[in-house]
Amino acid sequence: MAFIKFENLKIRNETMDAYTALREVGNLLVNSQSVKFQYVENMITSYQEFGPYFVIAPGVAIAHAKPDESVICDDIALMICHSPVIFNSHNDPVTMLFGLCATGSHQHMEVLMKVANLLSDTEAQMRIMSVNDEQELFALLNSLSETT
Amino acid sequence: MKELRVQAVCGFGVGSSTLLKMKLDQAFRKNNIEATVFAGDVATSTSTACDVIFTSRELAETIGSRAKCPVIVINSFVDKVEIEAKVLKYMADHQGLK
Repeated sequence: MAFIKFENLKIRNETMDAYTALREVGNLLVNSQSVKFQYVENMITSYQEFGPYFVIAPGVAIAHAKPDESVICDDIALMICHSPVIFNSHNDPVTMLFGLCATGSHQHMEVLMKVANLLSDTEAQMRIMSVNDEQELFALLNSLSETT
Repeated sequence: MKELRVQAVCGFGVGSSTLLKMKLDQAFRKNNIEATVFAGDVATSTSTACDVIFTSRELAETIGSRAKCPVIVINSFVDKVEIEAKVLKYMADHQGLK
């Protein structure tokens, strides 16, 4: 099973501010019909309210909002930002922006475990940052998630 | 010694806190410390009974003044070395483990 769906992957070279980046990664989840549009707005409100706490490691953010009726199913998206995004976090600038949605707090443990393994592996991170398109990224993520 | 109750806190208790919980579990297990680690959200974290809270720098500022237990800041939720060092420091400072 693919760890992140192909249509949930995006590589961006353009400069983006934090809000644009959150909207873009959120829209991947909207397009996959995993969340309603309201969820993207909730992600942004959460950033405004709690600050950039979801920038959990140097260069890595896992944006998400509350599990509520705007979530249709558990899912995860990943946007690679070649022009790093500033969230005003001590872990800035962000180059790997995940978007996560969950229906409850336990169902997505397996996928988070894979994300955690991936993020503990700096060589894997460097390989992810060096791919040129989404097809290549999809293939790489699948091969990495099989070995971890 | 009674079992430790350890809370990993993020905005809603589902995303980053779950990841931090997994890393904390590994750190306690590696050092043979019995602990129940669970994920919590920032709104209810200070009213949930626990011995220690681990969270991000931003959320520590929010909950720090309300918490009834030590609040420990983790800069990188995936950095095994940082997490283990802070777990052991907590154990030494507050639980008398040398």
